[in-house]
Amino acid sequence: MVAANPKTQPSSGSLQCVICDRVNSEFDNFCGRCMAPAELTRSVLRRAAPAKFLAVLGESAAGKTVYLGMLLDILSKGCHGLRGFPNGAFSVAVQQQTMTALQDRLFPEKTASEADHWRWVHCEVSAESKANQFLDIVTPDFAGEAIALEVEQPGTYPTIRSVVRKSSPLLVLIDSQRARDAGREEDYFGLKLASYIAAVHSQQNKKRGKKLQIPIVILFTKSDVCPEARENPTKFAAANLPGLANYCERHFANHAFFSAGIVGSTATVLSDHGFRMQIPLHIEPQGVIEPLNWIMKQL
Amino acid sequence: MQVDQAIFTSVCSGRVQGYQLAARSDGIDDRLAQSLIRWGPSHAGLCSGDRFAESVNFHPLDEGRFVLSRTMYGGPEYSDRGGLQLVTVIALLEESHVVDYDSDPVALMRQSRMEGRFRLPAELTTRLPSLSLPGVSPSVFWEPATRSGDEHFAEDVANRLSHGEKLAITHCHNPLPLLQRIIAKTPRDHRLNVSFCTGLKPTAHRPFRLHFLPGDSPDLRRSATALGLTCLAATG
Repeated sequence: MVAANPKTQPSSGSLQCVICDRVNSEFDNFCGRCMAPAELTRSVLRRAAPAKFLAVLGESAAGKTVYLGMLLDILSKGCHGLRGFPNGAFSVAVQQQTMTALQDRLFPEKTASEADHWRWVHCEVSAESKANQFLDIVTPDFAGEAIALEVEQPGTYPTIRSVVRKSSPLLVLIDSQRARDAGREEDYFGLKLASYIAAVHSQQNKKRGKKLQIPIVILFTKSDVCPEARENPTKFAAANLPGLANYCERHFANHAFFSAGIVGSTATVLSDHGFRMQIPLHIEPQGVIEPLNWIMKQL
Repeated sequence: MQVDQAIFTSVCSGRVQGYQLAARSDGIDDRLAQSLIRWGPSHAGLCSGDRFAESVNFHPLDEGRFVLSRTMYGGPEYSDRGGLQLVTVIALLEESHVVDYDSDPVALMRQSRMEGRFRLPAELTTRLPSLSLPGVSPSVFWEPATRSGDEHFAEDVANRLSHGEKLAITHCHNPLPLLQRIIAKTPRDHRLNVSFCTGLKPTAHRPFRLHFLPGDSPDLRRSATALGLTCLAATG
C-alpha cells in the first residue's frame, strides 16, 4: 500500500502532488502531469495520518458515476457502522450530480475523457466501532474509455496509472447485464484491467511470484436487472467471466465478488431530439455499502 | 491532394466503448492514432449546446505534420444516457498542403467544405479511404467583411500571439471571419505556429494557443484562465 505522507512535502512555494508526486508551484491549480486539482493535494495533506487511497475503475457505462455518487450519499448519512465525510467542496460534486439527476428521473450524463474535466472525490470513511479503522476514497470519477485506452496502451492517461499505483484497495465495476448478455467482451476487458492492475502493483511488490495482497473488489453493477449476479456474484463471475475469475484466483490473494443495484427498474423514452434515452424509475439502492464493509475489514 | 483522415467519436465497438478513433485511413498507424486520440474532444466538448454548433480546429501533431479538423454534434450518444455525441472529422496534413493555401488553414477548410468535405458521415466504417482535398482556388482568398474595429483587434491579437501569448477571445459567435483576419495579420512563416479552435472548451489535453468562446460564461473564463489563457473580448 502506498500512502500519502504529509511530512515529505518540499519547501514552501511548491506543492508535491499526492497522486503522481510531481512537484508543482503552489500557485498551479492542477498538477502539470496527472491534472489532479491542487485542492485535492491540500485536502489530503490536511489529514493527520497518511491517507489510504481507494480507486473506482470500470468500463464506459459500467455505472461508476452513479455508484460513486450513491455511495457518497449513503456514507454522508452513515450506514452499517460506516460514515463518510467529504473533504473539500469539490468532493461533493459527484454526489450532487448523481442525486440531482436521479431525483429528476435521469441518469447522469457521460463523463468526459479529458482528465482535467474529471470530478475528484476525497471522502474520509471511518468505522464507528473502531477509531483506527479508516479509509480515504480518493479517486476521480474516471471516464470509462480513458481507462480502456490506458489499459490497451499504457501511458495514454498517466493519471490513471498514478491513481492505480497509489490505491490499495481497488474497486472494479462491471456491468452485470453486459457480462451476462454480450458474450465474452466484459470478460476480456476485466482480464485486461486486472492484468494492468497486477502489472502496476507488481513493480512495487518485491516478492516475485507471490500473489498480490492488495484487496480488490469486483462489483457487478445493475444487478437489479440481473438476478443471477445478485443471488451469487462469485458463481456469476465463474460462469460469465471465467478468464477474470481465474486470473483473480491466481494473482490476487485478497479479492471478492459483489453485486449492487441503484435504480430498481428503468424505462426507455424519447428525448426532445427524438432520440432514445434510458431513465431510472425510482431509487432503490441494494448492495452499495457491502463492498466497502468488506474492504474495511481487510485493512 | 490526397491526405489521411480519421473520425473521432463515441461508438460501441468490440474492443473499446465510448470516445475513440472510430475510423481511420491506412496511413494512420497506432502511434499516430494515439496522438490523435489525445487531441480528440469527448462528451460535451463544444462550448455551445446548439444542435448546429461546430468547431474548426488546427494544431501541429508531430514530424512536421498538422491536423485540420471539424467538430460537430452527431446523433444520440450510443449509451442512451441523453446528450448528443461529438463527431470530429480529421485530416492529417503535411506542411506543404497548408503552405499551398498561403499557410491559412481556414481558407483550406472553407474550400474543402464548399466541395463537400468534413461533413458528418452518414454511416461509419472502421476503414476510410484517403481524403481528397481541393487544390488551390483563387476564389479562396476573399476578404472577409469585418468592421474597422476588427482590423485593429485582429492586429493586436496577432501581435500577442507572435510574442508567445495564449489567448481566449470571448463574445465571439462567428469566429471564422475574425480568425481569418488574424491569420492575415500574422507573418506567413509564423502562421503554422498558431494552433486554434473556434468552439471547443479549453482543456489541458488540447493546448491550443487561440480559443474562441461564444458569450462570456464564468465557467469557461475560469477554465481558460486556469490554463494560462488571456481572455480578450471581441470588439463590437
